[in-house]
Amino acid sequence: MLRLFRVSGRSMLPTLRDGDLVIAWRSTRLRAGRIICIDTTHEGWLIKRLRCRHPARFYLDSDGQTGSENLPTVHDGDLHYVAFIAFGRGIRWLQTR
Amino acid sequence: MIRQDDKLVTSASAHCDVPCAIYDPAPLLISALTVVRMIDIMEEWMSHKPDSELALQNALSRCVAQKEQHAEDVKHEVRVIWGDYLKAPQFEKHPNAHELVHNIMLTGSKCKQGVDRADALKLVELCNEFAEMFWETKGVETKRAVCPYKPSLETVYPVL
Repeated sequence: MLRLFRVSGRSMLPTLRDGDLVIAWRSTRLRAGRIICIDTTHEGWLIKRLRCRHPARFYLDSDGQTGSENLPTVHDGDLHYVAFIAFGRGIRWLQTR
Repeated sequence: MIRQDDKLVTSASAHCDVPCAIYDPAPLLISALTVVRMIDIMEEWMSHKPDSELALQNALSRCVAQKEQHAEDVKHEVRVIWGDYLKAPQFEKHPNAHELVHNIMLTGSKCKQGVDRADALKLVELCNEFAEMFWETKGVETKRAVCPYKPSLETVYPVL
């Protein structure tokens, strides 16, 4: 299932700019390095890059920021959307990093 | 064309300020100590004979301006840490955080309104408690020591 998201904020610079549109597909399988959109309890929908700290523990990170102390960790099985294409400065494929 | 308010589009937050992720209660503690120091300096001026009334008014005006600014700085610094850094996990661990922050806001305002040293001392103590709470969320131990400058009050420092 595909879903359309609009980026709000600048923490994902330089990959994504405020106002960019991204298309993402629904997934429950976490893959480190991908940009995901996830519905969090306290902060609503976040768009962040997924990092792997440990084989069983994933956390969210910003492309424009080092450290992720205030971002929630996510777990295998959590419903999320994997962003794969962005619009805003032309059309861009979002790469795994 | 897809508009911002279209239901097809979900807004996904990538917010942060700069982003720098640098948070430290040191500035707010220094500001709280400065509020006490300004009141002390005003009392010193009032207790000795100034050269002129104009000199006294000038000195008091400068101290009042600094007291006002530093009390406001305390409130600003606390608001930034409370609003930007503290999140649900920290609030769950420190359920009194909101009350503590609110007390700092009220006491900071009292310090701006008056020159009661007891209010300024209370502000320092509340800021110490806030700093201890902050460092605890970072897993950093703290110690209390008398600051090596006037007003020589007990202040919280991280043990790094």
